[in-house]
Amino acid sequence: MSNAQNRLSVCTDDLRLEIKRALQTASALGFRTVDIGATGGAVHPRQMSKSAQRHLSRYLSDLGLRLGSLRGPVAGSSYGDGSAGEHRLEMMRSIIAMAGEMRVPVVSTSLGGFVGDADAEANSRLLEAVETLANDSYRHGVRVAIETTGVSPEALRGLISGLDCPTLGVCCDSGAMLMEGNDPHRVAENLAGRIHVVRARDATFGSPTAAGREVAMGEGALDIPAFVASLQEAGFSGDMIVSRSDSVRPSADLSSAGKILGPYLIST
Amino acid sequence: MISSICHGQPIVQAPPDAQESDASANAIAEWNRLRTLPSGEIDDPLGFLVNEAGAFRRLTLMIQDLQATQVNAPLDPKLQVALLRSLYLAASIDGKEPEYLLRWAGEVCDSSDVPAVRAEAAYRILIDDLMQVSANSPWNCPLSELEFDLLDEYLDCFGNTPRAVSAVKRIAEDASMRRDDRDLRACRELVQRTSPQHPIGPSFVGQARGAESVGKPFAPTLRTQAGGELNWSGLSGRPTIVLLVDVEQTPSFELLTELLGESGSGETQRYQLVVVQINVSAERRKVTVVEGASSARTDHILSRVNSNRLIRLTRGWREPLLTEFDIRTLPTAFVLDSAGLLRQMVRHSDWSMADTIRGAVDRDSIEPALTPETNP
Repeated sequence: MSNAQNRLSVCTDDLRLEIKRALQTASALGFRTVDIGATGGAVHPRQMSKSAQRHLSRYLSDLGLRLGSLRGPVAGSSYGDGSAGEHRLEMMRSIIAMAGEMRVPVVSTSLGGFVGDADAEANSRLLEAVETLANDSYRHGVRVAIETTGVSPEALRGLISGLDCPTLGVCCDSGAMLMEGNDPHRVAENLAGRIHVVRARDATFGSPTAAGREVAMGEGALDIPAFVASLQEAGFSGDMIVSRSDSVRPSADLSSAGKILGPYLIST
Repeated sequence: MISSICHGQPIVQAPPDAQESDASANAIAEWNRLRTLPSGEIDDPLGFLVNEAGAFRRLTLMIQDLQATQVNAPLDPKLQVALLRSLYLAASIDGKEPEYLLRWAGEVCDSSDVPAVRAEAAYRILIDDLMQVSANSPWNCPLSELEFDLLDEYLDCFGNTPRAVSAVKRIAEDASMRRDDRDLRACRELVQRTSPQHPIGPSFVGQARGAESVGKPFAPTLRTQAGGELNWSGLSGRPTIVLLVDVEQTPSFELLTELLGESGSGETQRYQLVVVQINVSAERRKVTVVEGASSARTDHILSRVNSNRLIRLTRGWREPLLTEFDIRTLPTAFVLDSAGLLRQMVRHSDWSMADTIRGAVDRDSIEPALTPETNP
């Protein structure tokens, strides 16, 4: 198995299949690493007893798959939103703990919106929540990657630098960045040394007020060679998760994206 | 040769302007549009886009147009740099021999008036040369003077960017594999001087220090829990693992438990264990202690360590031992041979660390420690 194959991961949630079928499909498509959403369905921490964890690990191993990352909360309220934020935080903490038990190296999540100076109280709650995540991340030896969604790379860099926790980093979501008007081809300028994992999606270019839309890999504004070069400059050497959240034929699109991106991982 | 780079005149110049002009951004967008258009839809009256070399000529014309409209403005080098980078990646992905690109890069290196573009071309030649070296005579022969000259050229332009660190890292990895201390030290000094503030600069410097230390005596001054200084000479005769941990952190706790369980004692002792317990963050500790049995667990596991070989450090990441080697992940282990020489430095990257440490303990020869590292 080549290193490139190992580093190319697929988001099984995007296959929109029951978990076992999704894993079988991922394996059949040629992926060797998977990213699984852990906020709902079969891999929710509440469902995952020690026995269930062992069962999942064995199942993955039988399919020749490695669980490269889990995905924590990405939709709904922000970590800064009162009781809903508390709920989100507790969910994420339980996922980090489960990742530690299952030896999963990375858990990603999005902040759910970085409010800005306008709402100091919500920002304070959010910062407190991120610090808690940093503590848990360090304690369990699991890298926590905050997705570049709803927050500018500059703000994210400031947030992470302020906490000085080496296990807290970034999940660079190229599609989200494009759709929100941030340039993923310049990630090395703001996020070098901080990128734990990449969520590779293509999209049309948007802005904070007029979002772009996700498209199949190769059909949007993502300049793949430039993006890979920038990741290389940023010192990135983790998994690249192929993702496609709103396709009508996800298997074909993810397979195609994997074929497009695979050779670039060999070149880095 | 590389030493002359470091000890010559200062090599840091102003990095290329980070701000692309709108015109440059438009040109890049146009370039991307052209590259992704189906072939039948390309507006290419001059037939430049028949191949990548032609595509480059097309872009050159675009750049010339830009210069024509901004006569006195300096050429934005990022445009050409981005192009060259893309072309090389595209060529390698298509499996094409990048000979024409190399020829062109050579011409640019000799003739371009734009330092950043000249440097990018130099970087490409450098990388190609390194790949040739690795393919033909794997890591055994010194790099030629030319490569270091190209590196010098590159660093002239990109002194404080991640690309510069990436370039030096390639050289350092090669020097490490060749066990060439002089080049390795020169690379480390180069990065210290050119990229001290960049996020991946200090990490590289720390790794390089670790690699430089391999094969040399490892005996930092450390005060033990028993009160005196750690007696390194008393550790000779068997391999020693100096394990840096924070036992309130699960990976540290598990690794220490495992190593304590298998180190053995008396005549059957496989290796000796020195444990350096580091309190990484007071705030962080408060949070973890609330969780329940952590403190008791901590006390229990550390009570199993010989107090003459237990060191407690309280300044977290600011401890000199950690800053010197840029240790930003725990646990980390220094494996010493029976003569007290550093055999390998093992940083935590996944849960196979115990196997790596055992491998280092059991290995007879000294191996270099600088290896490509994952993002901590």
